[in-house]
Amino acid sequence: MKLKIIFFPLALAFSVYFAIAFVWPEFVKIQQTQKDIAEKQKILDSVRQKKTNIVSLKKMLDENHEKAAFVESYYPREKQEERFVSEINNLAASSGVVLLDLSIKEQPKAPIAAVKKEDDAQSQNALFRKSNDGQSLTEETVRNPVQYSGVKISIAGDYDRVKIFLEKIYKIGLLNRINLVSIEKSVPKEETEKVAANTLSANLEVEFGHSPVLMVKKDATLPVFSKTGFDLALVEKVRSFIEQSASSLEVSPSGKANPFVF
Amino acid sequence: MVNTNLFQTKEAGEKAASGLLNKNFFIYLVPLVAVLIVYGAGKIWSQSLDGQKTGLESGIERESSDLFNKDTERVADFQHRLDEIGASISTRRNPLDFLRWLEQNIIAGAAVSKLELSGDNLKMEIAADNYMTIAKQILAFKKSESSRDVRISALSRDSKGGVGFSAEISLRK
Repeated sequence: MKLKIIFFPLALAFSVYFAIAFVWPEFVKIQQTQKDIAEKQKILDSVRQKKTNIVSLKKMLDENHEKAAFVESYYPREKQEERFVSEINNLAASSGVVLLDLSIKEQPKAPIAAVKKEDDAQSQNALFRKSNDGQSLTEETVRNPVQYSGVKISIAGDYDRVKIFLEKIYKIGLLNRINLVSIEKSVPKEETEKVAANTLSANLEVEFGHSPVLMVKKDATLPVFSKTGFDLALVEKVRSFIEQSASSLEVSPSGKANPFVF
Repeated sequence: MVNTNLFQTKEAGEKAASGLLNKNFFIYLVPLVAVLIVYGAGKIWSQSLDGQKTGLESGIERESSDLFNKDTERVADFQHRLDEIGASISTRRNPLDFLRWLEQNIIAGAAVSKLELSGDNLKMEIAADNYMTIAKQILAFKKSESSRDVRISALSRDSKGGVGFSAEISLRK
């Protein structure tokens, strides 16, 4: 009877100890593994979805090869000095200004930025915004930033023609940014030199962008892979923008057609 | 004293012991056995889940390695170019906006002799025939809805009797 009294609590105590020491941790591990599996399954589904998306994106590019070619021409892979010279020369001729000087600035080679995934959250580049699909990829993504080539342009002409040239440069078919425009009245350097009263001389500093092919290392977090199609409306917008002719030169009734004359 | 049964206690003890082993012993073991069964089942389940997890991991590895090829690069590169073009188009400012603003805001009797556009800033040298025109011109610049931060400097008279000043103006987008 005494043994009976001792054995039952002992067996119960051992069971409780075993449950706490072994069974409970096992179930915690199972719960964690189930969570991991759900997460991994999500990643796998996302990778599969991305593969499907890439196929449809590639198909879209093939079907719209003309637009793809336009994009690569507007924002080329290489510096295109020959286009800078020929297009600026043509624009000057068609605007009716005299192209006095054109020089291409030597640009130091921009280093390729290696971006670690952890730093991507701070990146301003739309392409490299971190997605929230939870995929942990340790490899680096290499991105090629836009490289700008500076061009200095000097022209001479009357106010209206300088305006036309400025608008044409703004709408040139190359990714560009106009950093500086300086316009002043032309002053004869020598007394014998004759300059038309309304002639202006203008200096422009324009930069044209290019970028080598984007190198993508194992990086499934690029937002583009989550898309099923490109926004090709932008291509149409840019195309119609650069094909637009220079706007008509209208002056508000309250103003002056040429602010450089009294 | 002769009739005392000395074996009676031993018999009762054996009876009790055999009762413990035969009947109640297994009942006492039920919680322990149940815990062991649950533990064993948990172990088997856990192993099966581990296998499932490993399978998924290798699946991700396999699918990811297939994901990166020339097509991926082409797609990413095209999107990168589109993004840059979109950003450039939306942030660039037409230099003609400044000239149009100037056309609207320059008054009779004043003329620009030099101007420089950079970013949102417009630096100008303005010539006028008299101080009153200059005062009216400064006021016109300040009253313009598009201008902000109008700074006037270098007000002076030139050798030919005309007057001029420098202005630096930021224009709103």
